[in-house]
Amino acid sequence: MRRLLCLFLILVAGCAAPSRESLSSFREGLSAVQKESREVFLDVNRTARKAQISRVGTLTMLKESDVSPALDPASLAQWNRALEALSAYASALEILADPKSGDGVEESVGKLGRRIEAMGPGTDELTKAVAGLGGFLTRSVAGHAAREAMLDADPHVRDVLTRMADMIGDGPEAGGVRTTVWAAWTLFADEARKGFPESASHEKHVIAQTYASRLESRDEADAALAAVRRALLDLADAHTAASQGRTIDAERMVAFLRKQVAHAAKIFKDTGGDK
Amino acid sequence: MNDSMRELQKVLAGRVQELSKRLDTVTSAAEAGVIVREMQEFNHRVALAGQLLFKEESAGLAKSVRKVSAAKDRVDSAIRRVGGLSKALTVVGGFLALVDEAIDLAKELS
Repeated sequence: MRRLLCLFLILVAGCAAPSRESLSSFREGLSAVQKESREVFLDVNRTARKAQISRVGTLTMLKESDVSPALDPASLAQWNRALEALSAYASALEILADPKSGDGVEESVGKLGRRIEAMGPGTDELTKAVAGLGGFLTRSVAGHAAREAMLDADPHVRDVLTRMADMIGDGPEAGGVRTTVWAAWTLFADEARKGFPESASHEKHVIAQTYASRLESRDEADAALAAVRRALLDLADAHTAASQGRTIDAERMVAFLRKQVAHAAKIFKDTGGDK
Repeated sequence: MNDSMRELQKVLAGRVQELSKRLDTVTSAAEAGVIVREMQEFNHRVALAGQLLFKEESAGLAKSVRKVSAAKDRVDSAIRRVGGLSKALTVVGGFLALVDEAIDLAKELS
């Protein structure tokens, strides 16, 4: 019986359990993606709306499809639901892997040990060992369960995050949200330069400046979307790493994402995209 | 369906880029205006195709999300199991302390 218990403890302890820090980092990463993607998608819809308005001058009748949002509310709600489901799953894992889960057990088994200790000398070490064993057992079982749950869920978590990354698109030419935004900004840039051939020299300077600024905005908008896409793929890798007991640090990824999105939002506002 | 819509959007966006390149060589504002109007029409369809693609892909996402929610349910039941184990160990500890007290009492009475 003692051998079986030892074997069980060795097996359980031998598999590195996901650390609470890694799980918190994963959940914080999800939260950052949710916040930043909301910002970016608002800009996507503003950009698309601006392009729609620039086109209506040539229309004889206005239809709903002429001004419909690039990313409709129902689809955006589904996007947010996916991130919320992932966050709820990550929070549950954090609770399961909480190192304090064994503390209560240690305390009550410790009380028993102190009574044994009072019966005679030389039992102090035994008391500590018995109390520690109770807590260790609880923590090990919890850590083992968290690891098993993460390994089982890993393909599904990766599937969701990869699908979301694909919705944004692998590049401006790959199809997806990045393609929509890239085409719109190309149009804005070209609208700025269409009068160039017949403009006076001083006007040409202004046109060139606007044209260059809009091309820059196109790059920034695409970089912000690329950062969201990269963050989603990084989170998929982070989940796999945490499930294997490897330490993950999503902090740098979150900082990079926030910087890119904030920069793009600023450029967008500076160029009057929100008007 | 998603793949076809993605391909369509790529083709339309490719046309916007081609027209933009053509604008590089234009020498009259009138000709540039015609090209830009054509770009507006293609761009509008790029956005429509993108909108449908996003809609279809988000519907596909719902199916995958259900599997993550099922994984969360499994974690919740593991939390309950670990809670049960923790409770059992505490109860055993408490029970043994009670037995200990009973033995003490029996010793005093004997």
